[in-house]
Amino acid sequence: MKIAITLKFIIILFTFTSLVQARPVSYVGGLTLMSFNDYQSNSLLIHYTPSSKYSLGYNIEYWNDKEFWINNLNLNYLLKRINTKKSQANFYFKSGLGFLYTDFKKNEKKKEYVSTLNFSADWETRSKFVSYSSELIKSENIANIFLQKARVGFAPYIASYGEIHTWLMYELNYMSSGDNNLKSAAILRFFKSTNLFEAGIDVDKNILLNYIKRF
Amino acid sequence: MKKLNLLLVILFITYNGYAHDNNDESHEVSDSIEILSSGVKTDNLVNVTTIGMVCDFCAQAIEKVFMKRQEVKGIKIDLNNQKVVIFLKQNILLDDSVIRKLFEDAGYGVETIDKSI
Repeated sequence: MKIAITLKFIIILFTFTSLVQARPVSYVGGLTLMSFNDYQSNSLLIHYTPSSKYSLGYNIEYWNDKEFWINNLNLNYLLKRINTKKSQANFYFKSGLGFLYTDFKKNEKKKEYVSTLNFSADWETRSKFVSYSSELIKSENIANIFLQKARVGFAPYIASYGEIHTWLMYELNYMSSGDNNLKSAAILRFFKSTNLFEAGIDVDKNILLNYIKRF
Repeated sequence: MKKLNLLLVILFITYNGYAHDNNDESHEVSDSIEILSSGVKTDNLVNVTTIGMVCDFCAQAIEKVFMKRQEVKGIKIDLNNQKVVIFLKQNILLDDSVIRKLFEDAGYGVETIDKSI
């Protein structure tokens, strides 16, 4: 339990000190570091893109209410990209395989295999953004979660290359388990150069903080 | 509610700070050949009109991909007009098929490649 608390602290600390789901496939040879933190979970993901079609990653995440850790390897695949003069759309399939650990007293088994499947899509212009993702997290006994997230956003001004870009977004988040399984959040997204930062607040006043760095 | 107000204040301040910059956008574009986002200016230019280059954060990939190439001295990205200027080393040529492949690796399509300038 002590190790779990320490690792959770490191993830949160990383988020605060270094500075949406974002695209899981980067440019060829690119390394990406992502940290997502909301009321449900805290996660840290690093992935490498050897081809413009897929990336390989390692993900570690902690689920607050359910009190378990997930460590898994990821394969992220770009199903389809549609480039037009004024927009880009992407469709991804993501999968993960690894271990789930828990200290929760009710669970007899403390460690088991876990797999994740995810489909996501996004479309954006220079001033509009729409995304959707659905994810299934399944372990032998402990985890059986189906998540859906949808976002819409707009840019209040059009910034040039290299300037600070700002987006105002609204997210709907549905989780199959739990009492309060539908939540919405207002999110501010900023990015400049290879840094992307998001801060948001949901209807229950929980804070959301995400950070992405591309190397 | 206080947290939401704080987020709105941050947005307002950011918007006001950058609205002024955008008023000067036409000036910035006209000067774009003189000021590179990376590298050094040369006379050996390739002008590329791209497809799908709508996001600054993602377009950073173009800079990353091209600046790894030995033939490239610098690159200038004009997000507003979907244009990329590649500054090659003197007397160096970069084949169109290579340029198209590099853009594809960065996640974008290519509409035209113009080496006449």
